[in-house]
This record gives sequence, C-alpha cells and structure tokens, in this order.
Amino acid sequence: MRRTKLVIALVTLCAAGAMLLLAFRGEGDAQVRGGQVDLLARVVAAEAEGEPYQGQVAVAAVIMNRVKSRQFPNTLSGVVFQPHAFESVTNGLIWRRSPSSAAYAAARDAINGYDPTYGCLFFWNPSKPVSGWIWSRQIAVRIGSHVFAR
Amino acid sequence: MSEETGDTRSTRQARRPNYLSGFLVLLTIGSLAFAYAQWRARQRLEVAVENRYTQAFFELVSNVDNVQVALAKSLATGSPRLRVGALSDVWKQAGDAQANLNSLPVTQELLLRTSAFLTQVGDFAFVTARKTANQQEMTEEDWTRLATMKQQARELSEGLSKMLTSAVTGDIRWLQVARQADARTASGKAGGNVVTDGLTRVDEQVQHFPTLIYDGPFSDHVEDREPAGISGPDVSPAEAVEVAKRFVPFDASGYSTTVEDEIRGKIPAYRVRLEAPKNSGRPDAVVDVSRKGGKVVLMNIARDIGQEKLDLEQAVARAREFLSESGFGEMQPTFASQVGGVATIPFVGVQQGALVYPDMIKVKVALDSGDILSFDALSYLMSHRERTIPKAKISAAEARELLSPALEVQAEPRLAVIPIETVDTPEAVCWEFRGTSFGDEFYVYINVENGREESILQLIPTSEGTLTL
Repeated sequence: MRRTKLVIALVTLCAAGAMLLLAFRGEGDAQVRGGQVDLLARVVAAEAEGEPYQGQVAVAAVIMNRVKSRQFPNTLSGVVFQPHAFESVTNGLIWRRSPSSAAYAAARDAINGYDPTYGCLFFWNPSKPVSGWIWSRQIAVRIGSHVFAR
Repeated sequence: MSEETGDTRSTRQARRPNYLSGFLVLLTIGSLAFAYAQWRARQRLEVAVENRYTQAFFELVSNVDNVQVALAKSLATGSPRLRVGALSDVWKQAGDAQANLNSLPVTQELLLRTSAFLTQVGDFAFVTARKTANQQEMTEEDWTRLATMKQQARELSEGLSKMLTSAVTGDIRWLQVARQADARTASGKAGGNVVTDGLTRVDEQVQHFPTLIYDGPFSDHVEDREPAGISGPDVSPAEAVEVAKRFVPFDASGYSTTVEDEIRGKIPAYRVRLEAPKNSGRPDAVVDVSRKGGKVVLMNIARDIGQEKLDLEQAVARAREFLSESGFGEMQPTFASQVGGVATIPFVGVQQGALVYPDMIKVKVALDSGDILSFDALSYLMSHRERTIPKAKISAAEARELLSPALEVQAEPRLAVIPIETVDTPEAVCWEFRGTSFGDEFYVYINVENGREESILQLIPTSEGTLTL
C-alpha cells in the first residue's frame, strides 16, 4: 500500500516538475534577434542542417528569390514568416539553433546574389512527405538531399 | 506488509499515510491550479492569434476594395495631379493587400496567383504614376490595362467580401485553418474549409489574367528574359568537364570529376564536381558550365578560412588577375566588402570607357591565401553583348546642372550603362555622379540622351568594411 502511494506521489511530483520545466523553458528561448543576415542564417541553419555548403547557399537563395518574386511577399521577414512556408519557422526550430559560421557565409553569399538554384522558388526533401501539389513544379536541380524547383 | 509488525510500528504506520495523503491532496490541488492557469494562458494566446489573423483578413478585404476604388478613380479623373494621387494609392493599398494576404495561415499554393496579381497591380500603378508625373501621355494599352485591372480587383474584392461574412459570424476559425494547413503540409492530404475553398476560388479567377508587359520590375518581360551573353553550339558533358578543369584556379590534374546534375534553370548547365585526391588536403570545387556555348556560370570552392593575411586591395588585385587569366576583357571592380575572412568583389564590364553595370561578375577571394573561392557570372551571361554607346547629347557639365542643389559632387562623372525596367530599352546610358547630401553618400544617374534622372542609389555603410573604388 505504502509503496504504491509513494510511487503515485513521485509520479505526480515528476509530472508537476516536468510541467513547470516546460512552462519556463518557453520563456528562456527568446533571443537577441539581429538583422537580416542573422534571420536568413537562422533559417539556413534550421532548414539545411547537415547539407553541403552549396545546399545551404541554395536554401538561402530560394528565400532571396522569393523576396524578388511577385508571387511571394516582398520583404525578407515577410517571406520567412509567411505561415506554413518553412517548417522550421512554424515549429520554432529557427530560434533553437545557433547558426554556424557556414550558415552565415551561405546567407551572405545569397544576399550578394549567388544563386546555385538559378531562380528557384521552392525546395523540399523528397524522402519526406510533402503536399502532392509541390511535385507539379518544374524541378531545376538537386543539391544534397533537397530538390529545387521553380 | 509482514504480520510480525509490532504495536509501535502500526501506530506509526497509521500516522504516516495521513501525511502522505495530505501531501498528495495538496499536490493534486496544486497541479489542477497549475493546469487551469496553463489552460487560461493558452486560451488567451489562441484568442490573440485568432484576432491577429482576423485583423489581417479584414485589412486584406479593405485593401483590395481600396485598390479597386482607386483604380476606378484613376480612370475617371481628367487631371494628372489627381491621377498620380489615385495611382499612388493603388500602389500602397496593393502592397498592403499582398502583405496581409501572405500572413494568412494557409498553404502557399492557394495564394501564388493572387499575390502575383496584387504585386503587378501595384507595380503597374507605380510605373503609370511615374509616367504621369513625367508628363508622358498614357497609351491606349495603358488605359485598357487599368480598366482590366479594375475589373479583376472588383472580382477579387467580391470574392473576399463573401468570405468576410463568414469571418464576422464566426464560421472561420483561423486556428483550425492553420491546423489543417499543418496537416496538409505534413501528410500531403488536402482538406477543404471555408477559407481554403474561398481562397482557391479567388485564386482561380485571377488565373485568367493575361501576360502583362509594361515598364516595371515585376512585368512579365523582365521575368522571362533570355540570356543574351550565351551563344554557340551545345557542349557535351565530357566537354563541360574539360572546361571546368581548365577554369578552376588550381591544377586540377589528379582530381576526379563527375557531372552531378543537369540544371534546368535560366541558363541550362552541367554541374561538374571536381573532387580532390584523398588526403591531399586540397578543397573540392563545383563548377556550373552552360550547355550552350560551354561557358562557366558559377564556381564555388568550399574550404575553411585561416588567419587573414591580405588586405582588400591585394584581394582586388588577385581577383582582377583571375578574371584576365580566364579571358575576360577589361573589367572594373566597383567596390569590395570583407567579412569572415573573405572579400567579395563585384566587377563590371567596360565598353568605350563606360561602366556596364548589367555585365556583372562577382569574385570571392580568401584573405588568408588570396585563393579564389567563388565566381558568379550569371548576371554577366544574362546581359552581356556588344552595345552601341551613343554619343552623349547631354554633356557632363549640363548633366551636373540637373542634379539636386543639395548634392555635393565628390568625383568626376563617369559614363555608365545601368539597368532600367522599361520594355523598349532595358538599359540606359547615364552620367554617374558620386556625391554627398546631408552626410549620406549617393550615386546619381542622369540619362545622356534626355537628361532624365534615371536612378539614385545610396551607399549604406555597414560593419562589413567596404572599399569604394
């Protein structure tokens, strides 16, 4: 009897602790949010983790191409924070990853106009589930584990 | 429990569970209170998000309605003064509408065409307003376009207004829409609701908009431009590999080569990877060679950067050397910036003494060794050709008279070819003046044909050390 109650007490305690932890962790996430390069580097770090350098530049280039495209918002923040545009923005991953120096370099290259995708507006990982619609876009190139399309 | 427990022990046993249950009751109450507080907080957040989306949607509807009204006014008014005002309003409202549309929590494919339409309406209004302000007559085509745009904007406005009713009566739950969009992105399954159905309908109406060719950066002729700097027969993948090996700024013998991909982009190209021999400590390179003509479009060499040893001027000299070794004629560096141990230097073409800005090649140099890290000739290949530089009708001295009195000229004017977004002439030959105005530095371009001030650029100082050349 006693042991059962002790177990219950412990479990409750752990659960309460976990809830408290979860509640406060959200607060601690806020970061100093820098300028445009920082924002772009964050998306690169979150969306193209583990990709070759060229693949990181490509992801940043897609975002820059969207800014220039008439089909998408005309500002960097507009493109990045467009709902459902980037999964890592939707789930907050961009605020949990610190961009590497490579991610920063990739962001700068893309801002300088380097575009290994030749004007692509979409990218996705073909091994992950994506909306079927996306496959109707014309695929231009494959870099690392992503395909890029116009 | 064992049966041998003594009296003292059972008394203790009887008391201790009381402590424990008390503790448990407290914990349960605490947890419940905590859960309630969390639930309240979540409610508040949900309402805040819901309100934000509703606001964006309401603003979108009024933006589109204002676009339509302002377009109608621009058609009805007889005075250029009022037309410029109305068209400026179209530009502003269309821009706001686009931003509000794209902040709705739906999947992007529902909005692409409507977004594009709104951008083009704003763009066209801006260009037409500028035309009117320049006292240029609107053409018959301009009138037809404005009228068609007004009609389209009205249909768009009507479609959105229908949805607005559902938004007011609470039939639209934006968070639910967002969750469905999430599920759709995750599983690829489509799910319909008031919002997605409504927006799909609206987007489909916009689809029937004809190709728009006018002076403006978002015009169809700008997006569909063909590369001018590429000619000659197609090359084979093997030939492309040879081009890449000759081009890279190091001895590529011993490197293994593969054609990784065939890029179907603005310039169709082979992507050639040159892999360094194992344990050689040398970097790999990726070189894109155009299928037509076998020209190098992009080159990238990725490696870690060591201690900086070169300054910007040495880097510029190194880049210039690389370009002339690669067979590019006279190219002029415009400025250089340095960050993270690398210098990025854009070079522009020179023809008959004029700087040709559209013919731009960017070279990245490592400041530790002076190695070339990347080469980007996409702009150059898109626009390069032999140009005829007309004799200036407006002299440099005359052009200087046309500058703002608030601009203090700092350098001798130079001739420059700059890109402008007009249908007939995508470029203009101008006098380039560098000057300062109220402490800021500017480049001002005066057309040598008609003295029009075509463009003004501000030089923005950044922390990433720039060198103006």
